[in-house]
Amino acid sequence: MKRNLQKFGLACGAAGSIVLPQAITGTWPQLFASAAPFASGTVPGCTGVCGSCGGSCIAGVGALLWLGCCTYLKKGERP
Amino acid sequence: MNSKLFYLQRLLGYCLGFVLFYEPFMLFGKLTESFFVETGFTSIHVPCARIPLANILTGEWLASGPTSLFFCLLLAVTSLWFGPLFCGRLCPAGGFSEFLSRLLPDKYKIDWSKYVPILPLRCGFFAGFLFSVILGLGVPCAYCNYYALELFAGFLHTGHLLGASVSLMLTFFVCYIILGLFTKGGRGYCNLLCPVGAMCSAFHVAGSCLPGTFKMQIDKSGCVGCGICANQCPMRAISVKNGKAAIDIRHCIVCGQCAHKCPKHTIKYLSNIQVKEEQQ
Repeated sequence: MKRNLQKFGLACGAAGSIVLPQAITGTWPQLFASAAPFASGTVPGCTGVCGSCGGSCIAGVGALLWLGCCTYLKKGERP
Repeated sequence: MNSKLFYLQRLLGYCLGFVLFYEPFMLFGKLTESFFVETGFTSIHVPCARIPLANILTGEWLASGPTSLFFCLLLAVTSLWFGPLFCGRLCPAGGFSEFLSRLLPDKYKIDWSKYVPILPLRCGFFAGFLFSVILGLGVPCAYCNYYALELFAGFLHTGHLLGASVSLMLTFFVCYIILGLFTKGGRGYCNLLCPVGAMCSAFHVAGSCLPGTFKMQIDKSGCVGCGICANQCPMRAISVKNGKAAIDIRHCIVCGQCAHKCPKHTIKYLSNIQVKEEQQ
């Protein structure tokens, strides 16, 4: 039961790591305003305002951070 | 088949994928335009299954265009019946990542399956992709490895790398360096993040219940549990339990690497019916 809950938590966290960064950058487009001129035109639909395209780069980094956190915590659990 | 020939065969499959889906060739788009329907433009976005998947979810499936919808349907049907053949034998992005990882010795690589349970994370990331599309938060092109590879492939024939492309660099770094070069098997992105791969695997799992469908099968009576297949599997889909190898079809991409490396030749790509006939 605990193991299943842990897996569910991992899955929810993974989903959140994709959704949340996009939601945050979508809600506050000026959050990464300084990066916008560089990011503009590099992904389809990018307007140069971070978040308006869905935060492509942020989602990738978010997923990687979640993966890193899980690995770090699991490694800590090992005897 | 000797190793060189096997790898050459696999490499040719990925090269064919590149010629079919990437500029400057884009043979898939050209063939579709010649025989079926005008695609309007040629890019990896025409055959990409993420866009129709997202459009179907939002109810705007007609916005995808017939070529994209056809390709998405083709992937679903082939995965249902023959397994994720596209992932294992044709996808140039996955192939590039896998072959890139062969450049580095194993001691520098992370075996994600040893640290985290892959399946919940894969399902979670896939759910995240679906929710971000349903909730209107993101575009299906978010963290796309196909597109990252297309832009770098474009550099080879145009000489332009879309200067200072922060987003592209980050996506490429995540897909091909962290989850490719520094991942055991080189298929970290395919195993964890790829929504198309997750979709194909879901169809593969669903198809395994149907009669006549194909998957990698292990003849347990001949398996000696040496673990070579488990070590060689790029998707880390094989484990050795009680002295016998077992394939987790939820991750298997039917690349054939395990069957090639098996010293006892106990792993084969067979249909359910063929297995039953062999057992009788």
